[in-house]
Amino acid sequence: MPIKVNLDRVMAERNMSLSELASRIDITLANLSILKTGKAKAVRFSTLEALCRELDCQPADILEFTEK
Amino acid sequence: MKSKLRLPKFLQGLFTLFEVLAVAGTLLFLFILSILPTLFGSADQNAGKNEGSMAIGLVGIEIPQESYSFNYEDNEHEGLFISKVQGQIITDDTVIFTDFLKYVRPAAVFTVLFFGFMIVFQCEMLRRLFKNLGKGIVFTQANVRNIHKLGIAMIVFTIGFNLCVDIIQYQVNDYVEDHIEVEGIAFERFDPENQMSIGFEINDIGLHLDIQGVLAGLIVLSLGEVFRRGLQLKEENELTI
Repeated sequence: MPIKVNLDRVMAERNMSLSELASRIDITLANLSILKTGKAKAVRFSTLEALCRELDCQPADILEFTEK
Repeated sequence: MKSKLRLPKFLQGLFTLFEVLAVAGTLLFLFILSILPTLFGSADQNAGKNEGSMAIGLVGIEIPQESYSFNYEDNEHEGLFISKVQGQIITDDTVIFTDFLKYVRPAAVFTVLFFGFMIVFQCEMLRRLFKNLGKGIVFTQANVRNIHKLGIAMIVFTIGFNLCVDIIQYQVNDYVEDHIEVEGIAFERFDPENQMSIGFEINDIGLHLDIQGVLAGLIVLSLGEVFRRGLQLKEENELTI
């Protein structure tokens, strides 16, 4: 998929673990793992909003478009 | 929830029963086809007596009332010509019977095997489908595959079975025309008219196709496509975070 998820990079910059982020934005660890590994087919605006709020970043920091 | 799952479980059991019956029926028909000639004696023993066209010892022809019409248009035949007669030829001559069985047996065995296999295959697909539905598994790749296989099997079954019946019909006509002669009666080809079928003829071989069966197969294939789209939507929904 040409949309790349840079969640692991942003989390590493903030020194935040996957389980901590999952509990903060109130989604399951399994779903957050799917998002982090790029297996997700879609992201809800509400999830993106929560991620940006907790990680103090912009959507463009998490999502990136790459030509294949 | 449990009461809702009773119907799929019942249907699963029903199709399992159909499978067993289809296997038993196929074996029974094959057994009958294999032992019938021996029940009526060997045709080879009496082969010397009947060379060329066979003469029938005792014949009775039953013609149901009002099942025939008169046709005077055929100028090649002299005298009265009766067409579209539907009836039965009854004979006590076992030689004809065994000879006829030998003539049509390969096609009949193939038809029985084909019919049995296709029925068992279709029942198995339906059984698997209802087994999954009984477990509450609806939109899965396995179900989509089973529905597609079922649709294709229905179309293959309809075309194949129609072809088998037409071949047997051709052989029966061929045998009657070539082997059975009764003074004063000429046997000609009988072509059954199926209302819900399309067909054509090549060198006296009539090929017919049951439209309803093919349509049913196409409907099942369409249902398979609906299931495939449902599976895609389910996967998308599950992978939406």
